[in-house]
Amino acid sequence: MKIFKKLIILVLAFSMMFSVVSCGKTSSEASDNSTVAPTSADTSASDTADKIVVGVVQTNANESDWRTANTKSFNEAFADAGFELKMVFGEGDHAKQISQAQQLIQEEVDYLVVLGLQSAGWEDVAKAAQEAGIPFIMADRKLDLSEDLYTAMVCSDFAAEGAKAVDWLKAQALDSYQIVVLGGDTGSSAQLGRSQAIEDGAAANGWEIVFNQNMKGWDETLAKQAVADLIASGQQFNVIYAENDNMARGACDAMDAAGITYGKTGDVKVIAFDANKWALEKVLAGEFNLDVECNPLHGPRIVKLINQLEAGEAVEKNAYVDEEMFDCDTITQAIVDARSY
Amino acid sequence: MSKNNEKISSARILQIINTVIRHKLFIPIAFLVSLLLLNVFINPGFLRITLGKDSAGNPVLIGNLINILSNATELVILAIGMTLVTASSKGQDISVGAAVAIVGGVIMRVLCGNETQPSTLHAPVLLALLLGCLAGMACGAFNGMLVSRFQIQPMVATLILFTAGRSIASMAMGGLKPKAASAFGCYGNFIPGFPVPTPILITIAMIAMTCVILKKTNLGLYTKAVGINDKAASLNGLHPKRIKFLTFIIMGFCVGIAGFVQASRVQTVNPYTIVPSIEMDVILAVALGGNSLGGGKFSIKGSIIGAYTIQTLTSMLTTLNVNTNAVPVFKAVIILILVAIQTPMVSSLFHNKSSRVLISGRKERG
Repeated sequence: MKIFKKLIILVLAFSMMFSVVSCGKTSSEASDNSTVAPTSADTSASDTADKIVVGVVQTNANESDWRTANTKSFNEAFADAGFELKMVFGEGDHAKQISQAQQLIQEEVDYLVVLGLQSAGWEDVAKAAQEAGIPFIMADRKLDLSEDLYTAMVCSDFAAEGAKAVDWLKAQALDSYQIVVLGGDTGSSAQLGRSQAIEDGAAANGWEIVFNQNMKGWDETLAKQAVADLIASGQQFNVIYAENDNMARGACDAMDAAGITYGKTGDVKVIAFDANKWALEKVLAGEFNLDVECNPLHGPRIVKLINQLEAGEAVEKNAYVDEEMFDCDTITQAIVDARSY
Repeated sequence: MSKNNEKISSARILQIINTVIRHKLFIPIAFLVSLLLLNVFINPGFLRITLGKDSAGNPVLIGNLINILSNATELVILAIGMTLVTASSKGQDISVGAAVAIVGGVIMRVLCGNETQPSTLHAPVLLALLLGCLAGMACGAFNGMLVSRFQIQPMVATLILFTAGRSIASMAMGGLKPKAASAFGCYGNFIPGFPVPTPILITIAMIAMTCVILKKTNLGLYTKAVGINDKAASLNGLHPKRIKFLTFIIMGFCVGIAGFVQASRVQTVNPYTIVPSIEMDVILAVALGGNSLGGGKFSIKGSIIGAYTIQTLTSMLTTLNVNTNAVPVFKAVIILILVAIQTPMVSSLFHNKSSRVLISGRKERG
């Protein structure tokens, strides 16, 4: 108990110290303003005056290889263009992202780029940015905003990704289609778009979806266990539609363990999404039949967009990043080697 | 004479039934069995186990029952630790998922170094297991210290690691997502040539070890004593703080083993998504086993049965291809039924009826 009391006293003492320090800071700033002396704040402002400051609200620092490549793309492209980048991370917290965005607006960045964890709830931020005269750009995932609230968007079109896979599947002209759908995190825009595409495709073409459930956290182990359970219960299937690379790999593991053949020469067609480098290697090796790219390289596109806005040119309001797909019959070593992530 | 004998024996059977029904583990076991029977009813092949071959030609057992036994490993092991922590500290450790991520991260770093797809293991698996267990026990020690020394409520104390753990794991891996060489996979899957999944063997070993420790040492008794009344326990010469700390260390060891098995399953770890919200399933397993979450008396057997029940449920929802949006609702309804059966109100109703039967049986004999 004694230690606990001491701890409380320490914490209180610290908080008092901080409040004193912060008071001191504001008072000194106030005096600076009143004397109109050239302060360090002024010089830094003139320093950055010629530099465009872009605030980026990113989702998580490191949730996946994809995200790492995405962040890197922003860093590199902005450094090349000579922009000053202020990147903040929501770390899975939607409310945190919103307050971070509002903070960036208060810091008067020149442009605000948002990669939202969730698509809803961004109206206030967009309005605040508009009032402050800061262009609001959506990247990666489309947010629920009316057209007049944002300046432009550069997003991935998940429904189009799914539709590409459906078209490919149709072109395979299998005798029958029994599809296992391994969905991503329920409610994420990637899961919604990709699941909708295969569900619509199956309904339109008379295919049978024998399994359709979402795996928490896009988890490889959960996908593997689900497929193993399906095999054990005697469920027949000939297509795996896994909404990311990891779940496709998990499904392949489960089929390996049961002696079911898959891929280029096997009985089961494997479709994956995202197209990480290691997954493209699997496509090249003929383990995955198809991998649909989800392009993380937003940086250069955003830089181009900002430069256009700076020059006063008209911009495409709703732009999507270019996304390819990689088929095990046409992929080459050169494509895999060119992959940076 | 013979009539009298029959009456006596029928009364005895009733008495046996009564004691069985009154047994603390009756409801958890009955529920697990009925869940399995329901599965068999829906899919007659549910209990079938076949000897198949994997793609490398090794013999493997394939069957839903095998999958349940194998996939429940992490839950069972964590439930053992959680039961002890619950009993001694009157609270739960909600950081087990994050701690498993840390263990997984450490194991991956040891086995893969700084490479993302190494073709060989960088260190012996035993070393990785050892360091993984140490990492788990360090997490346990951290939680245990906060709970026993600083007397912070367990849920609050473990909230710290719950919040930070997965980021710590990511840092431990240096921000990489490596996949270890497939040789590491035999601990979470099959040892080539041996058809029983390795996780089942690991579960058996852990359960056996727990039984031996509880039989041969006073750990169980002391934990119970501290959980029921730690002041009385300390007056009797026990050290409640040390015992609470010890149970958290044991929890940490369980986390280490569970993390090792989990990491081996797909030989890769994504710290942000590994074992998603397993802490809730583990706590649920303890509760389903008829344990009070308020500490004190405990039954490890009950928790283990609870863990298998949850895994059976998960497997069932997969094989039935329940609509993905309805899965949580489905799970909740079944859990609600199970928890409702165990409430004093319902169980007293149950007991009264059975004792009435017994009394009428006795009257007949008289």
